[in-house]
Amino acid sequence: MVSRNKWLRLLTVLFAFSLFAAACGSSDDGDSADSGDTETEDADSGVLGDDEPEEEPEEAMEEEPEEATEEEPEEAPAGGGVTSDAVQGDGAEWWEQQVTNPVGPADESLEPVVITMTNVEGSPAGSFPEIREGAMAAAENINANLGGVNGRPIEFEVCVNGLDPAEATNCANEVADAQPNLHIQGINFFNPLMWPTITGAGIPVLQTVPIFVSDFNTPGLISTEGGCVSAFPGGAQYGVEVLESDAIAVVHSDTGPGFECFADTQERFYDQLLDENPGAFKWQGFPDASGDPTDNDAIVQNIAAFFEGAENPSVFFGIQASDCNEILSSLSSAGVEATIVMSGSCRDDSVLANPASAGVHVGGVDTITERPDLWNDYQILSFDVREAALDAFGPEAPKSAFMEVAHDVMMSAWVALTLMDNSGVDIDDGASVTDYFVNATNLFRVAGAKGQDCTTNASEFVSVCQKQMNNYVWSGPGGQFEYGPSGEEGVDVTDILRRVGESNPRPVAE
Amino acid sequence: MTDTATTTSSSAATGETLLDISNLSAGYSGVAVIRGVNLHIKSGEVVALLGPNGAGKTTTLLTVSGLLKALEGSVAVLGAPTTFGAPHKTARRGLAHVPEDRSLFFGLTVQENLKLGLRGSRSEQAAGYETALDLLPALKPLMGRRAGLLSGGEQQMLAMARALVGKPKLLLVDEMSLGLAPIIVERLLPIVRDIADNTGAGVLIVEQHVHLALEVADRAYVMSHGEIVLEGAAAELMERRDLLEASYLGGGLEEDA
Amino acid sequence: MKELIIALIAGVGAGGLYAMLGAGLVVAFRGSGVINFAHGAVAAYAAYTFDELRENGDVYLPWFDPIPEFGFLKTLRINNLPVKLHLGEDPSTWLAVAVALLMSAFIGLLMHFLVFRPLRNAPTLGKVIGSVGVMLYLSSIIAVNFGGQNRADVGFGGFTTDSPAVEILGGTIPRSNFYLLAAAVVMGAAVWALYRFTRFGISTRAADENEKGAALLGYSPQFIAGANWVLASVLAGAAGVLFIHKTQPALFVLFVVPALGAALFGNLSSVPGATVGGLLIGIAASGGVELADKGWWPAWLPAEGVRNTVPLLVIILILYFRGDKLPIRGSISIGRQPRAPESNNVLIGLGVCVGIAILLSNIFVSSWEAILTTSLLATLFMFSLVVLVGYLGQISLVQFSLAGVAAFTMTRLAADGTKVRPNDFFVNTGWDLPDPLAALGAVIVATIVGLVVGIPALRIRGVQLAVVTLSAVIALEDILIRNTTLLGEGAKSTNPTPEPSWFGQYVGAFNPDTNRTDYWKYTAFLILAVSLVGVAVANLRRGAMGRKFLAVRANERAAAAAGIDVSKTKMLGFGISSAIAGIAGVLFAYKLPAVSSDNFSVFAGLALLAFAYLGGITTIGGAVIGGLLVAGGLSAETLGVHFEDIDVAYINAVGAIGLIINAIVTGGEGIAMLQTDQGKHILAGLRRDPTIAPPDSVLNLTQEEIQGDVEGALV
Repeated sequence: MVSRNKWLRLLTVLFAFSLFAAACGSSDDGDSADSGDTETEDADSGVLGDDEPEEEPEEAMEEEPEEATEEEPEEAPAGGGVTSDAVQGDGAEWWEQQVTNPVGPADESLEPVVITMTNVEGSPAGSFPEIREGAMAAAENINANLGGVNGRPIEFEVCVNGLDPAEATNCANEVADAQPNLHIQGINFFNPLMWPTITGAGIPVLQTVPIFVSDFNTPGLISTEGGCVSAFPGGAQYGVEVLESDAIAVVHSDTGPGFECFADTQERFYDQLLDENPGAFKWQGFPDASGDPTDNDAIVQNIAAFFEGAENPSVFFGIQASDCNEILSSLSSAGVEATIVMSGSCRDDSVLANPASAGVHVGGVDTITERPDLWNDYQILSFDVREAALDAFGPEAPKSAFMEVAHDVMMSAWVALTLMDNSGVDIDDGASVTDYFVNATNLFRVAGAKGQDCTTNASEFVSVCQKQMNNYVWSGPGGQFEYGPSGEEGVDVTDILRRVGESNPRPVAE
Repeated sequence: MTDTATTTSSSAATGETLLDISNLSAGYSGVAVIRGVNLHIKSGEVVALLGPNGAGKTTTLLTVSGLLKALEGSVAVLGAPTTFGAPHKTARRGLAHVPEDRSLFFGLTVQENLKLGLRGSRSEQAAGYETALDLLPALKPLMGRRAGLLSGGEQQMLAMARALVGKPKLLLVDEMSLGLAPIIVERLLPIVRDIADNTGAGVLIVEQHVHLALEVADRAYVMSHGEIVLEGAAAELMERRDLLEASYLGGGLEEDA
Repeated sequence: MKELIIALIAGVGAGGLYAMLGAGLVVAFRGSGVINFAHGAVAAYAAYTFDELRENGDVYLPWFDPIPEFGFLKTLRINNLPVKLHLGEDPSTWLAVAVALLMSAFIGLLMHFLVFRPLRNAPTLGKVIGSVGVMLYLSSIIAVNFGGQNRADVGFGGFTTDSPAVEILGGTIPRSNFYLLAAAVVMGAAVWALYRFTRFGISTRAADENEKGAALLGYSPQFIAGANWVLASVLAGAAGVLFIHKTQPALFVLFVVPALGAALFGNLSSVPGATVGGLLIGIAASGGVELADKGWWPAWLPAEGVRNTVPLLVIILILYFRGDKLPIRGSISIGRQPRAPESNNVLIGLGVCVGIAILLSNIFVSSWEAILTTSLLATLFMFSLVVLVGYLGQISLVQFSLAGVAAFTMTRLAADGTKVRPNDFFVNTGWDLPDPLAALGAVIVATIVGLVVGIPALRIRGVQLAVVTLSAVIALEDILIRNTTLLGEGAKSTNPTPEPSWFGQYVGAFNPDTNRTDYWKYTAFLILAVSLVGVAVANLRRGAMGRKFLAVRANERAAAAAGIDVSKTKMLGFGISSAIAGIAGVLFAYKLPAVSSDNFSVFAGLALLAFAYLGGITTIGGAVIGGLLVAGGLSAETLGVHFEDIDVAYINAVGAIGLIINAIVTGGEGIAMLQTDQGKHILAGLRRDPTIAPPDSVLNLTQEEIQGDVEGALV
């Protein structure tokens, strides 16, 4: 009798103990270097890419190589084929060299370079395993084929948390304990909770998807991705200066981060533009209750009323994809005639399949992802390398923009760390690594069109190196993207960030 | 013990045993409230189960219909053991139990209450309907009324009718007279006699009104403190008031000499 | 004015959804007496099924493969539970609809057989926890099977995203809104007719009123329950499929809250009432958005709060004044309440726990300190549940929101208009109170709010109270917590908390030296709070007040007859519980650099209730165990080390299963009780019989009474 009690109790306890056990132990993928032939030193560790003239591009391949190899079969000239450090950033040519002539696996015997990540997964309200997988795929490729960081393999440790601040805090503590060389932040709704711990431990942080204001203005964070800091001011500039709208409706999410972004990266910017161009336009913010369908029709009614009398109105969505769809449909049903501009956060297959999406301007990255025919060879190469790495890794989540971002950030980190190592920077010292980034004037971001200058970061947005955005026009479901009124160049928000910082600064006290 | 078949049973009085309780003990939370009960009912019989409050009469009925689990012994209803915890199964086999609280559905109309008692094919249902309303015609004008609005007597009639529309083979009635004026009880109780005679069903009535019960019953059992202390033909028991009294008040009993 | 009317009319779209979901909730309740918090999740799963079939031709069964495929097990290729079925490319729309509805029916059957039937004799709280467990399980399975991505289905029939607009009064409303209205009305009418005219419907109504009577007439209450579960689930699935074009299905899980409002409007028994209620809620919500746009709207009343809350408040008022007429389901038997024994040797137990906590605090590597405080904080909060839900038996789901109210109030009271940390975005102005006073003020405010919320409890009981308190969670979130006028600029977003200093000692969790949340003074402070509150609760239980609580829990009328002032006792219980929740809220805010309303959401509160229940909601020991189990707490992190590769969603799903099993096995007493002698009784009672309440006066008569009976009988 007693033993039966004990078993039952044990069973119940076991079940209980498994409750919500956030796997904050890492999905340890670190030593993922497959045992291949161990090479002692990889070749050309000092080659930074020569300035050779562009030779005839060896990869005229538009089709994606589905096989699991990523070395370009053709013998390629060493370095400088499709890239140029002057254009894409320091290390671009070296990167090209490496990926077209992979040196083989990293050296297991060397001390690894530890890179950590935290990421939100597993909750129905938000789960982004694709970020982790994209970064992992890149890390595996680096370790298996690209020789690591000057031979040192990358040990990639991920702490996954759910939507619970306690779990997030635990992850931050774990990261700080691990004392990595670099931390890459995944998508996390608790960034503000984590930064004091992580940056306080002197760990340099690269962002993938910055969300909160503190993601943009905390020293020690480096964002080669724009987030709302490049997308939204760019959107404002686009609406006012490119489209020359006379009435702008700014739909924003009323969640915590949405509210912050609106207050910090939209409101002040529209006001600034209004100050600079008095009477040229009117604008208003329209909060959208995220996920609540009852207010969509009412919001659209309000927008329609706001647009009365305007000749060239436009709507800007700074919300997440699911809400984009709702509002888009409501606008269409209500017959509201206006140019619709959606930020990159709205870019989602479901939105693009919506009939109402025809003619919409959508924010995007430096290339039109869906128009390989418009790519230059460098972009083609980036794409091929990434696809091959992802296919070799075999992610469970479907491929998406997030996955690509995470992959590219990891690759960029690898390039940057190697360059640092080559130029004598101590990559095991967090402060030195951070300094390198902060002082970079020509930072290479894999697949990025231009090198980024982190020294021109506005004082209010010390982390944001990416200050470029562009909008492309979508022709409708089954159609394609085209360059829009901002052409291939896009919008550069470096200056307006500075102007707003001076004339319309963040409030110090309310 | 012989049956005192006082009246002529017209149809279907085949004498088969409809209810056979053998050495039954049952109770609550493992504590036996009735012990060693032996009781049987044959078709066409009206059997009265008498005794003071707390003797275990209702407990016995609950065990028969399967609402209570037997601790010892057996209960066979219509030839098969009763299923504890699934009273609906026993009910479908032909048992009708009108519990102490009548369990009417106050929110439903008289018609709907009756409808729920129907069983079998269309024609069987129609026949059941007819039987019940023949025996209790006072219900006919009340069809559309909500059961909660009926008087006490009407409610009891409805409870009976609802049990009857299903043409039960075995009918248990718990304290039919509870809360009813004596004059109404006098009118209602003989109905069980009609039921047994006309349909051949066996009827077990639990009653406080000893005299009235013995008038309509063929046989009777008296329970006290959880045990059967007296049984016999109704007519005989009616003569032996002293025995009845003694059994109600407990204490040892010699068998009827 | 015109815009208002347009907005009101437009609200029939969402209102139609709420009406359909509300109708399904009523069906489930009538069939089995359970308020199914998972109703929205069923709708979500059906919607996902519909979309997945159309996108990929796949159907996912509502479970996951229990043999995990990680590590070496992957190579074994054990062919186990099928999950994914491929039905073929490009299925027709109607096939997809049919499959979605079939899936809903299937889920309804599973819920009946695996969860609610075993729980049929459980006390109300057990059923609440059971359905919460199902909600959490389905949410996790959705994450596992369908991924966390956005789905936007264009819909079908007239219920599509590009539904043409209807011109009304100069404004335009998508036609699909009216289709939803029509669907809701049709559904409501059909179910009403079913219940009114068919044998099935009548028997359901009968069993709802008196299960025993129905059983004695030959109707299997379990069959009725099961059939109604299937019906309710199919209704949910239909609602989900019709609404999928409006928003993404993952959000349907939360729509159970307005659906509950609709069901309550129908008194949990009238489908037409629920239909009307749902429509009204949708209409009022939409109108509220319009009104909020007006200039005259007062600043201290956040618009979105009013929009979401007004309909629910109206319902509360209706219930309050109609309180006597609420339906209580006539079940055959209801199990006894879980036992709530006194804690013996409180001081010894306390000493041991404190000692262990201090020991752990010292030997822990720093990151474990934060884990320890997470568990301690949860335990502290759970004491409030023990008092209110465990001892007093009031199923209140709002306690964690009260903690939120306290956290935000404290932040406001202590703020002084300067930035707390250099990188804070929002700066709160406030009264600049010293931290102990700010904390006290916050607890007082939380207590007052808790008492106000407790007023309905004077007239409303059982599961209806659970629903009302759940709607209070939403009300508090939108009206109070996110109220920038009352609680500061940061209230809507990330609200920076002060760095607390008590009597010169910094007691926040953030350690300025190590930059971790592991400051020992916070841990000590927390241990002190847990100890004091724990002792207080134990003493409460042992004293007269505790006995009064238990008496009220057992039977209010009997308690009143025994001379207990039931209203006062209830208010006292709410007050004490709210105060404890407030203390927990303040300490929660001391741990984090910022709080947001999401931290105190519906799901967060339900999860804590679930863990408390799992540990044992009737004892202090249970609260300790519950605290161990929470996310980010000791047991979760311990296990996390060993289960590295398993997707968190799987673990959540397993946890939800564990919750359900616990509800069935221990009936509310939780793990804590398994260790006691009484626990053995429970386990023996697994073979238990659902016993009927014995008839009156068994074995309790006096000689005179018998004599009296006899005389009367023999007349």
